[in-house]
Amino acid sequence: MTNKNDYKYIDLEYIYDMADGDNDFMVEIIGNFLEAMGPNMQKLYDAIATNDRESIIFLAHKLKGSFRFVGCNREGAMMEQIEELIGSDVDISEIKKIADMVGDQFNNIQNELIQFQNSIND
Amino acid sequence: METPGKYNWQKEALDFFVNLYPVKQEKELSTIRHKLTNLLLQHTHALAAASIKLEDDITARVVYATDATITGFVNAEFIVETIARDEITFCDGADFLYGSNTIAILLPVNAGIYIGAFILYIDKSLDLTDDFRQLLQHVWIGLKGITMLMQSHYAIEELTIRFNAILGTVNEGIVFVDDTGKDGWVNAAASELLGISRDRNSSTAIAAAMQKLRVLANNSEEIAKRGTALFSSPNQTIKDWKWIYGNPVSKVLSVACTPTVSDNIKGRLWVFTDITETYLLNEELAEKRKLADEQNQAKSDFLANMSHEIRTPMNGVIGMTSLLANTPLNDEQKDYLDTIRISGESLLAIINDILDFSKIESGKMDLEAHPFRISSVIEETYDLLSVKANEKGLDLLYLLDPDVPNEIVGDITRFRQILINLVSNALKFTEKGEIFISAKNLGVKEGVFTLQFTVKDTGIGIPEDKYHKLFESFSQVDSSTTRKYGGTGLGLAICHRLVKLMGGNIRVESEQGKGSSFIFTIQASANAQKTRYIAKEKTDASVLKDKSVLILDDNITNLKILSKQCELWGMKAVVCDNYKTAIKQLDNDQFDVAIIDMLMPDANGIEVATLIKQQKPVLPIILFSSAGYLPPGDAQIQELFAAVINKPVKHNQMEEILVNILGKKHLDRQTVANVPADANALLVNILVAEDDEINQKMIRRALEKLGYTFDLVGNGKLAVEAANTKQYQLIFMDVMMPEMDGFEATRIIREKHDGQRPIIIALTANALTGDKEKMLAKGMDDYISKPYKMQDIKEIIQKWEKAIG
Repeated sequence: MTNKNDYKYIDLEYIYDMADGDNDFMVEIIGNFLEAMGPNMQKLYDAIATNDRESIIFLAHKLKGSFRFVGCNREGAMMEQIEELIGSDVDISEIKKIADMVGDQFNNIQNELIQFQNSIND
Repeated sequence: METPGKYNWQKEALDFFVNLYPVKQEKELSTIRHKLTNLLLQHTHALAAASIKLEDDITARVVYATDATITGFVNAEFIVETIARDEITFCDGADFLYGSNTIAILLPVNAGIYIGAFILYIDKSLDLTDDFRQLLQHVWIGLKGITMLMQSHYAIEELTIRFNAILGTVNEGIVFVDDTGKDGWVNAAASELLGISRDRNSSTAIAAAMQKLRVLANNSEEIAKRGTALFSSPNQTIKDWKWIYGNPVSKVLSVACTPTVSDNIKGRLWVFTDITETYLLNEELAEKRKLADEQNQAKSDFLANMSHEIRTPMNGVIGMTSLLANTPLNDEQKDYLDTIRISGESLLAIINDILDFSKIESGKMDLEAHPFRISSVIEETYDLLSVKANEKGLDLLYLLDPDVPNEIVGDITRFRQILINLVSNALKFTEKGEIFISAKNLGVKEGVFTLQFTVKDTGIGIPEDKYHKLFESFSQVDSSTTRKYGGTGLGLAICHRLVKLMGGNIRVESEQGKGSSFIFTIQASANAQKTRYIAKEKTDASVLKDKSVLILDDNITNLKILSKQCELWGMKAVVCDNYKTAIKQLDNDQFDVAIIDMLMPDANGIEVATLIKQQKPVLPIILFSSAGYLPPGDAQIQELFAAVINKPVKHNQMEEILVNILGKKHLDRQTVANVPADANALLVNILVAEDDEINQKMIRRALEKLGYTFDLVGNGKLAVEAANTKQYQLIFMDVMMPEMDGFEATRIIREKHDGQRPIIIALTANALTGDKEKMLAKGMDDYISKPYKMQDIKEIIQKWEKAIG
């Protein structure tokens, strides 16, 4: 199995802690992450496009927690920044820029999570 | 005397120079001097001639004279002046050891080794014509030239003497070979080595001898290769070129070759040094070092492998123990489990310590500095060793003086290792009685305490003449001790070194047949948070103040310790060493609690408690007993005792039990002390309100693993509904949820369940400063930030255990 420290974008310390050696749990939780994150990111983009600030806050908050569980602290911090900025009068384009930065990394995160899942399944 | 006029002085001058030439060919200084003086006499037609040598500024003597009457010392001062003036000087002959009717003509010379003058004695009547004076000038120039030559001869002679002395003395064989092939020489050592005659040889002969020597070497091929490289460059120097002979090696030469740098003489100087002895010694040392390295490596490998092999199953034991600890357990099981865990962890620590022994030896041991509680380390040590102590019926006791800091900063593993070693030893050599650890504060300087610990036993003791061997590596009092009691003899050596590293010392005091005390000191600072810790303790222990306690034990030391400890808690302690006295005390006085030992000579603890209960049915009795001695869940025991404590008695545990009993906080026997949160797990009703699937799975996982049952809802509205239908003691509430967020749900639940509301813990992805305050302001009791670990969930539940009730 790939070592949990072998990854550039993710850090699965919390998942390992919870799994406590249960590979099935890790596969399941990573699977949930992979299933939920894409749609949630899309929802965030949709909310930004329609300037739906309430939904932006909600989704950014949820995504923040999810990113942090898989050790993507940088992306978690960006979501936190969106949460804070949306409460002010900041232009929505600024929010989109931040979301885009997260989106740019999203494929990498997904790839590493899939790689991790495969390593367990092997 | 002939008149000077009849000589042709010009011709004499010419003849003088002609005759001077063969004198220059002479090698010997004295011969040159003699011949020169005679030549002067011959060509100046003087009456006599002498050679004067200025030995120093006050001594000038005749070294040769043509007339034997001229001998001895002359006026040195005048000679010095003449030399200084550097001119031909005329004097009275009588002043220079000759007749008064003569004139002494001084011709000064100053050529390094030849400082002085030649003197010609001529008749006073001689007419000093210009030609004659001219002759003198010519002669004087000739003299100066030849004295310069004499100086060179002298210098060469001096160098030759030194050179020959050196070459003849040194052990090295030295060979010079002329590049032209015409000349070469060897010194005595080289002559012997090469088997050729001394002094000059043809280069060809020397080269042939060296070739023979080279071919005979074991490494002749390598020598030939390097030789080719050497001769390909005329200025190349080579040193420490080994020529090795014999099998086994019987001779080794270190060869050096240096080209000469003179313009006139080109060749190479070879130096052959016999390094056989050094070479063989180095070979032997290298072999031994290699062997030692291999052995050391093998030892390290063995230790590492052994460590790994032991660690793997030990980790299994410890891991399974941790899992077991998360299942519902009663007090006794928990206590046993703790002992297994501590034993396993200590064993691992010891394995590491053995590995570290080499580190200590080489001074590479680094001690850690973390706060730890002294009493906990002692108790853990006793827990670890209690099985053995119980087998022998030994009491494990300790007492810390009140001015010993509760917590110190140091290396807990090393400190525990010292105690384990010393207590293990004490257990080995003690068949009856007790092991007693005490601690004193010897003083504090600039915040650093000097603490003295004594591990005292009532064992066989140690003869005084063996004290010095105790702290040596692999040493025991005698070989029979090793056979009887086992052990590596490493323990005390490790203790000694660890104590030294902690800035202290260790010594032993002993009396044969009565016991031994190992006394060690350490330097340590107190934990900075000690004050807060003590304040908490005092609050808890305040209910004990002025309470009266009867303590019954046949062990006097234990009585002293318990009574002193009770007094420190503010209690009034009455001690009895037999049950009859105790019963009388109970007749006469009122007690709030009694503490009694199980194993006593006249009656055991159960029998005594039965008697006490007949007199004082409501008096709470605490029994301390060896682990495993009493059957768990025995109804009679549950009826008789408010609490049962396994030995060794832990002061904190005793305090907690006393607080619980006397604080009127009645608890079941199983929950008296150190009840794990996990044991209560099933008793807590938990609700989780979380909408996110991933987060739901994480919290569910944590609670299941910790042994809690719980209900799960997906938003605040459902949480409110759930709280209406079931009485939850604790709710984990996500803050941001659809339909109704966590704040709103919390507000409603608080309003509806004002009297007996659940503890609400916010689950939030916010972890910023001020977030906690925000949560509390919105009605939450506490919060935990995402992401969290299992331990975080466990700790926060434990934190709220008491409030949950």
